[in-house]
Amino acid sequence: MFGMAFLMPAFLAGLVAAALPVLLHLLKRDAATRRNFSAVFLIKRTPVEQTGQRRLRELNLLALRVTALALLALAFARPYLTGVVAGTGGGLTVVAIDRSFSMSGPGQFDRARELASDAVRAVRLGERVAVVVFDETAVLLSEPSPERQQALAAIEGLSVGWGATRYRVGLGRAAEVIGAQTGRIVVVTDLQRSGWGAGGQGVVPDRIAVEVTAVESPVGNLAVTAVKSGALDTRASILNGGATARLATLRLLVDGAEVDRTMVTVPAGVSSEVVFPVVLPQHGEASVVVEDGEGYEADDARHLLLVPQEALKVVLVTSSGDSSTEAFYLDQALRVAGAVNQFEIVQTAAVRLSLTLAQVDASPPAVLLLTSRGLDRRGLAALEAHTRAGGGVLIVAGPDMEPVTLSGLGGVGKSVPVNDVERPMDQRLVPTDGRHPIFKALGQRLGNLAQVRYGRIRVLDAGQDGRVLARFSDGGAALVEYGLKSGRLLVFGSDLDDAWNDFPRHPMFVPFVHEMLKYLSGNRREQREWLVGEGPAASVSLPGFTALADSQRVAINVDRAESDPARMSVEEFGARVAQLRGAVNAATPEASDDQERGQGYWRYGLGLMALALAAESLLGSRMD
Amino acid sequence: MSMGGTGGELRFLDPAVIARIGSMELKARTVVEGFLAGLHRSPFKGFSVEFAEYRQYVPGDDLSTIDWKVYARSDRYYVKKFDEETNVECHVLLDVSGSMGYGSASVTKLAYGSFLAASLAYLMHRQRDAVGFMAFDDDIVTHLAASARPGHLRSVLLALDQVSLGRRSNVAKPLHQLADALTKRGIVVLLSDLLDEPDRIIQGLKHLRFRGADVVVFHLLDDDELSFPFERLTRFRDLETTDEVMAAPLEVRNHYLREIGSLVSRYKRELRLVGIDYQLVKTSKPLDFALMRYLSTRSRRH
Repeated sequence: MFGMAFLMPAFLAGLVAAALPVLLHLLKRDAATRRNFSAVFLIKRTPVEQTGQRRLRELNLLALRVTALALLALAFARPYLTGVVAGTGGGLTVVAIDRSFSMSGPGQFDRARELASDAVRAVRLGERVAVVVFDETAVLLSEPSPERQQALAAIEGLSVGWGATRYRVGLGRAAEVIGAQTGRIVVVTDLQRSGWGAGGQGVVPDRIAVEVTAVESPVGNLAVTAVKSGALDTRASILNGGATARLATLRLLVDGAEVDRTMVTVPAGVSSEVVFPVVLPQHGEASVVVEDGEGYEADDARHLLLVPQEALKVVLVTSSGDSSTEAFYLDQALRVAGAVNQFEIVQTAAVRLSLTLAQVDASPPAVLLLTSRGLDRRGLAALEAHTRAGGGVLIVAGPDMEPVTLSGLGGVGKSVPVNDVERPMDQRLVPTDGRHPIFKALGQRLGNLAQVRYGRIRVLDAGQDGRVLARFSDGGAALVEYGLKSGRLLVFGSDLDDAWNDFPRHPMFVPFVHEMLKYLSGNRREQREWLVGEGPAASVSLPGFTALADSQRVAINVDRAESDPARMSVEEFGARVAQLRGAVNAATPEASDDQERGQGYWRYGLGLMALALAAESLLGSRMD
Repeated sequence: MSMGGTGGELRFLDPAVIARIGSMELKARTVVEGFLAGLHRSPFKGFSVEFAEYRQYVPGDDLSTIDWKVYARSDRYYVKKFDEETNVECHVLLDVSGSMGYGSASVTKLAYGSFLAASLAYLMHRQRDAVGFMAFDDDIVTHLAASARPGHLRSVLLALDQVSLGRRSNVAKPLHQLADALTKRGIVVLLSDLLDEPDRIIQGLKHLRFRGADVVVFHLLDDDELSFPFERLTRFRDLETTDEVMAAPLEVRNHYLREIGSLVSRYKRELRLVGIDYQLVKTSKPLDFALMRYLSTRSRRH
């Protein structure tokens, strides 16, 4: 499919200049007066005809001038056709093999290897072929080469992995291998729908064809997707990804020994919770295992490292020190079920902040500054010392916050240019970087933040030191993190009570506050569970328990999204690829540059503009 | 022939001044009296009515013609018969088509033509000529047969007072109709801007001439029509057809002036060839000039 794109689309703004002649024409033209006259038939005889011709010539002149300016703008924008194939013959075929654990069904990966080998053999003699394998990462297994044996050998030695499918990663890597050449990608996959979910980036230019060779999915799959240790029991979630109900047998293991076993019937396509009447010890390794002979092996077990949790201290700074009335919603958010053991609330009045911070034990807590009333110089100095000691502070720039007071916050205050300007309007909050720890933890619920309505906001100036983590829908900064040498400082540009917005009554309020406090606490609560290939466990490719480089033991699990074998059609897959193509121009400037340079349409644009100007000169001279 | 009036007298011949005078009769009287007062020695003395005989009254005779003195003496009704009821039968034809509504100053061509027609009628009546009047556009709008009766002038002037702009021009049609209706030779005065097909107009006038009428054509044109003084881009709307044409006057002026000049020249040339008096009259000029022209024509008949 052909399409027109521009290497430097900003120059298209110059098209506005094309309107200038029209504008001048409209402004300078004489407005015709209307006059009754008796001898109109005498005017009509010849002179009117000449006037009409002159008018026609004027219009032509105008059209030529507009055309010349438009061509100039278009030439500077450097247009090129996106659907043009850069060359013929000598194309490169990349066979991209999905090795995610959703390919680990009985006989599934053998079939994938077989199909990949067929794809390699189908490449015409003389043409080059390469092999890429992908799950969450993509690896070039066999370099581009006309030697098909090399690729076949690489495929033969391939085994399925434990990662999740990321089509963007695989396609992007394959497209990189092809580069600016002509080529095609043959994707060998189970067409798992979740493979197009969040995660991974990649683009496929138009000049690269994408073909899909599908591998059948298993009939059913049972997966343990979660394990939670409770005060009275242990609960596990089990997913039946098949089309029929399954009777599942689950075992609870602690330190490798089975402590309980249960059977449950899981309806088709749903997740069920299984309760083990077992209270797990505070130390050790627990796993829940399901017996599944039909589906994927990797998700048959879920692992949980048992470590005692230390509650995070949160200092709530209000005017009177009674957070249950002055910060009702925040107070409740920290007391909800599940959070009781996570957070320990320390209430204080702003006037006593320095004393309170001095009394809190050595571990720097998170400070939520909700008011500036009563905040004196000692309190500000204590806050500054708190951040220097690595503590986190959240300044809620709501109705009780006086920006002037914050200016006395020493080194911190200089970095907090909260303007004393309020804007009453209906605003929404949009995160600018979903990868930030606060937002990343919210996962797919992140988009729900935009449902909150902010009736009143504070104008924040991020300045040079601030990093805007979220913006309001008018573009103003909503959540700003200021860079400090140590500690963390966040400023929220509205209220966290219900005075200026309805956020506290929104389901996202509690998780947002929790994640923000965890971030302010420096995530000192060590994460003891990772997914395969994620974070510090990136080098770990097997689920289970392992010790990281710092000897800390962690639990490694597989991505639960990969446990769902739901497929998409080849057409749907093609549609997703088309979306990747849509983003290609913005994402691959180098390739676009090459393409534009090869076509060089801007030269034609300038040539046509010169012709238009010559014609304009000729026509203009004839009219004088 | 020159007109030798004072400035004060001339003032009453100015069409703009005449326009401000009340009734058409007063206008006509003002013009004619002013005009005649300016003549040093008029060669136009008027014309006597020659008595022929008395005739016994028969029902149907005009009662005004009964000689009551004879009745008093003889107790019989006799009517007076004259050789000629009038000296000359004069027909004033006034074009009231839409184009006559144009006027760059305070007087339109129609108003000017009306004043002139009224003045001519007054003058004709004063000289005992029978006066007929016809107003026309593409058809005859008003027609009063020629008559020298004392009350007839009032009828003509009243008709002139009530003329209003009509539709499109068709000058030739009334000319042919009048020519067909003429029973005796007389004077036909045409007051029109002649902004119609020249061939047809000339044919109509030739028809009248062929029937023995002396024809005087007053070609009424506004100064704008003769000089085309416009400058800004203008959408000209035809007064008769409402057609519009956009024109830059500076571009079309020379062409227009050539066209109007050739039109005037053609009328002048072709009408004079057949013995028709043609006179271009600018509506900005005093009315006496046209009256003098008429008297010149009238004098040729005697």
